[in-house]
Amino acid sequence: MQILRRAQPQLQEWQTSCTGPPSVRRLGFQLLAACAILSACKARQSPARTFPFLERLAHAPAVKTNLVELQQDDGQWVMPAKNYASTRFSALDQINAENVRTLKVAWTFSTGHDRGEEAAPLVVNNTMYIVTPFPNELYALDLTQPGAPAKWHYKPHNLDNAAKGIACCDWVNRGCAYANGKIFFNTLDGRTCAVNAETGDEVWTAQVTDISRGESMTMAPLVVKNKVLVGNSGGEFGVRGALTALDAETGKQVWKAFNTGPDSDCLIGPNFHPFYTSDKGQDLGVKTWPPDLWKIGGGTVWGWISYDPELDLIYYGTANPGPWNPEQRPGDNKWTCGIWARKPDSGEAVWFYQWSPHDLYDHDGINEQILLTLPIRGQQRKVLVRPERNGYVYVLDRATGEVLSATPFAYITVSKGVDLKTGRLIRNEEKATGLGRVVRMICPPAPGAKDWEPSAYSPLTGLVYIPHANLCEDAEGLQANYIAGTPYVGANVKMYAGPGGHRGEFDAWDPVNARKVWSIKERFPVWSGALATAGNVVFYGSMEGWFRAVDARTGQLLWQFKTGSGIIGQPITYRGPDGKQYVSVLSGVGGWAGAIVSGQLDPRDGTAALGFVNAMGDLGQYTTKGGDAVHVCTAMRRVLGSWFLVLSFAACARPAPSRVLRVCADPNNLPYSNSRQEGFENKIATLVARELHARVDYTWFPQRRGFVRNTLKAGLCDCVVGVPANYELTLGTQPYYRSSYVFVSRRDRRLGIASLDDPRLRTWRVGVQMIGNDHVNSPPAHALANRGAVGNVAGYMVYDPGAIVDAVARGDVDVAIVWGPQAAWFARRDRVALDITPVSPQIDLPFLPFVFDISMGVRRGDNALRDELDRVIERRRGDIEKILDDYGVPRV
Amino acid sequence: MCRRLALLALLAIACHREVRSIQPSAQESARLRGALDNPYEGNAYAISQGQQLFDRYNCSGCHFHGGGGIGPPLMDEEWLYGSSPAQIHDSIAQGRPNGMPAWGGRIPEYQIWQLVTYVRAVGGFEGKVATPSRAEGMQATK
Repeated sequence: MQILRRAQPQLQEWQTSCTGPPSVRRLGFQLLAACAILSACKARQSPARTFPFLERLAHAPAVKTNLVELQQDDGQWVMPAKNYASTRFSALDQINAENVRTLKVAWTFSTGHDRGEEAAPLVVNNTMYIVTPFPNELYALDLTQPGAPAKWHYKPHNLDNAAKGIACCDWVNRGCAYANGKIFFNTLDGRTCAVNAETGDEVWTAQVTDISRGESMTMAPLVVKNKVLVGNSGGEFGVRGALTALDAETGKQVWKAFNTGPDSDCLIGPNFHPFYTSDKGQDLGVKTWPPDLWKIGGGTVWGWISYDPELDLIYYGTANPGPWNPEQRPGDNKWTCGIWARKPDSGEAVWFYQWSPHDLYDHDGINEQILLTLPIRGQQRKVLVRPERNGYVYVLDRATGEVLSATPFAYITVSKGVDLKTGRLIRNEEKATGLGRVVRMICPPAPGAKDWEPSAYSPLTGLVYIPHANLCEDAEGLQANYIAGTPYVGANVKMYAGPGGHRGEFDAWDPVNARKVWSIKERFPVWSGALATAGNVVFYGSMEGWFRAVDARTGQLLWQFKTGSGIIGQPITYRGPDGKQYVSVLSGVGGWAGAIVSGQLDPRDGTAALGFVNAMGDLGQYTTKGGDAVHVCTAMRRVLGSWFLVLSFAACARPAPSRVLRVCADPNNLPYSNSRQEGFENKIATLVARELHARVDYTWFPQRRGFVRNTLKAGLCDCVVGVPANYELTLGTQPYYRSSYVFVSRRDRRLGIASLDDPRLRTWRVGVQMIGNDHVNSPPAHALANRGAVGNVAGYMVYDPGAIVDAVARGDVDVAIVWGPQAAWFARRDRVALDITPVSPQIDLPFLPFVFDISMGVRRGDNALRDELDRVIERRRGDIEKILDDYGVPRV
Repeated sequence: MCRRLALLALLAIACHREVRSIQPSAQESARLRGALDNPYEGNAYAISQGQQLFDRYNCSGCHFHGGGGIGPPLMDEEWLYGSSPAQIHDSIAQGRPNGMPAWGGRIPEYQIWQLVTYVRAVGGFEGKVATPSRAEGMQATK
């Protein structure tokens, strides 16, 4: 006679064996789910999306470096701006607007420093590179290990602490760059370091700036065609601004382009073709200054560089002229507060445009510029989009430097627009600063409507996501004295909140229609970078420390997490070695806006920190100093149904244990197990794993013919949670429950049936389960047949375990004999009240058991695991019982 | 006669009533060299001069009006290198490792002491009689 079992391989295997409960299995849909899940268990790659503008950049003929290819790999983040176009956009979409709410911290890393963390981490070859604020240590974190431990860290040698005395705006560093197996970054005391990306060995260092002149470096380098481009800081110290190109292999200077002085120093030659008349002429870098003042004129390069491989042009801005007091330097003060387009091989200038000629307000022109192709007045134009310090979003033709539009994105009192004919900023003369004068309501103030914190662009929404401030200031002009190595400013400043009272904003800007689409007000200036993703999620951080995810289309807040300190760093996203998408950001307040906390300044002096303290007196109530890298992981596998994510969430929150308990289970077999882990065997597996300090890893396979052979025996897993106690295909633990076949009948019928010997079983309609078409092949069927009940017996396929219970509820049959756990599960769900009674006798004659012990099974020979599981069952018997109670499993 | 004597006596007393160097000079610096106590302690003129020097030598570029910025605050209670006149003097004259420049030998000694006295006033150590009661300039206004 055929006896059925739950885990059911070939029927023939069972002919001589002992008994078992019926298997329940599904086909088709379930298999599909199993395959989808199995593939998700492997490193699942998001399909690469292609975006037209990136493709054009990738296929540019003149490019030889592989960075143009590498920048396209969304699994990595190889330069701070993500790519040469500076979109800070990733096509990864595992994290999306629907599941981002389940984001959890995967791990954190303390940098050991507590000054402002402005850097963007890099991820190259499963290693994350972080540069700290001065002393500018470089950490390499191994993403293949749990918790991403540091595999090495490099500290620059012989650091000069005096550099701290010439850092205007905290000891920050905006990140490193990668090329040719090396990591490049700058130090505050003026060196560019090249470090072997694999080993952390120093390859070369180059002293680029001189701190005795107040000249330092804070910017992130950009590597273009094997040249490391580095610019200086120190516009508040009378430093002469310049961009230097160093050979990536040797560190030797290839060229240096100054931003003030004669044309020869500024690398202006016959190929220089500025668009506007005011930028045309000889040696304007001298002539637009009083004699010799260009030598201490500023125009530093401490911000962002972009590169167009097709046009072979680098674009970068120049900072404020020195001193701040404009009356000491009449003239347009070229080439400060402007943007250069240069050839990267030679540094020669191709065009220049000046955002703010004869700047009065410290409106450094160094922000990021995003290279896009946009429809302007019906034509596709290659442009650069620059949310500029002076409060306008500029769209420039990046081939010529022509201003196509300049639209305010903030409250402006000091200018009235940009004259598109001349390109010139139209000043409001009433707000001109000078000696002995106090000018009030200067908007935007010295840090601008937007400072260095970079925006991001999403090609899916077509929007630029702009982190910025809403501030104004009062300023008093003073006589500035130049003493090398000391500040050369000449102004007292006090900043305060702009109209509305909120000091920060995070906006979505439509660069084609030149308008704000949505806006999030923030208490403090938004000093972090923005990150846009193809999942339509945009990330940024607040100075209180909130790391936020908002819907790219609407700005709706979808998720946020409070980190240990204010966020002024740049978030990035990448694909981990496990195939999951991660998002990372540095947390650690500081920078110019956060100096009151990082420098422990005194709020009673509003002019402190160049006037920022007046606007940030309450920052200390919201954040303390810190320095951590925080990494959040995705909602893991993309499977059917959103509630699986709830469990991924839980699994994600704990640091992943290194031991794995590999379990084979049916993906669609409630109440025992399903792929959403809603069955009681799933719960028991989780409990066991926790006891073993392991995490569960499932191999899904329907429990039917070939189950053990295809899973346990094939080595895909090590444990099956529920098998008959003496199942010969596995090595079993002690049983952890005993259940029975039960009679199921409608309560309102009060049938009172408990025994197989009940004569009414010969006349009532009775339901039994069966496999295949032969309904004589289950114990109840047999028992009934032995008693002469055949014609009144109806068979229900095991494929549909609920059907038989339904049949009782509907009245199709008077009673059914069903395996206990299933009966209880489906009866509970039925609206009609059903009675469940264990079948008696427990063992029918001649030897037909209706009760079965259930154990856990491991591979034959795996005694060690079996013994471990035995001990777990012993220790946690009470909890296992409770799980079974929760599911109503009848036990006898 | 008595009146003339009285007048002379008065003048004599008046002449010795104050000893103040209105025109500081190299001799003044020489006199101060090696001083451990603040020779200008409580001296309103020195505080006032110190305040001028504080701006002209760009001290305010880093310390602002006591709140700090590039350099630490001078108006609060934390003194990285000490708040006694001798310690402040040495910080200014010798410089300090974390970015304070060394002014000794570059500006006159008496000016360093004037700066010391002003810095002490900013820190609240000087008596109310000597310290200016009202700050001037934009920072004092709302």
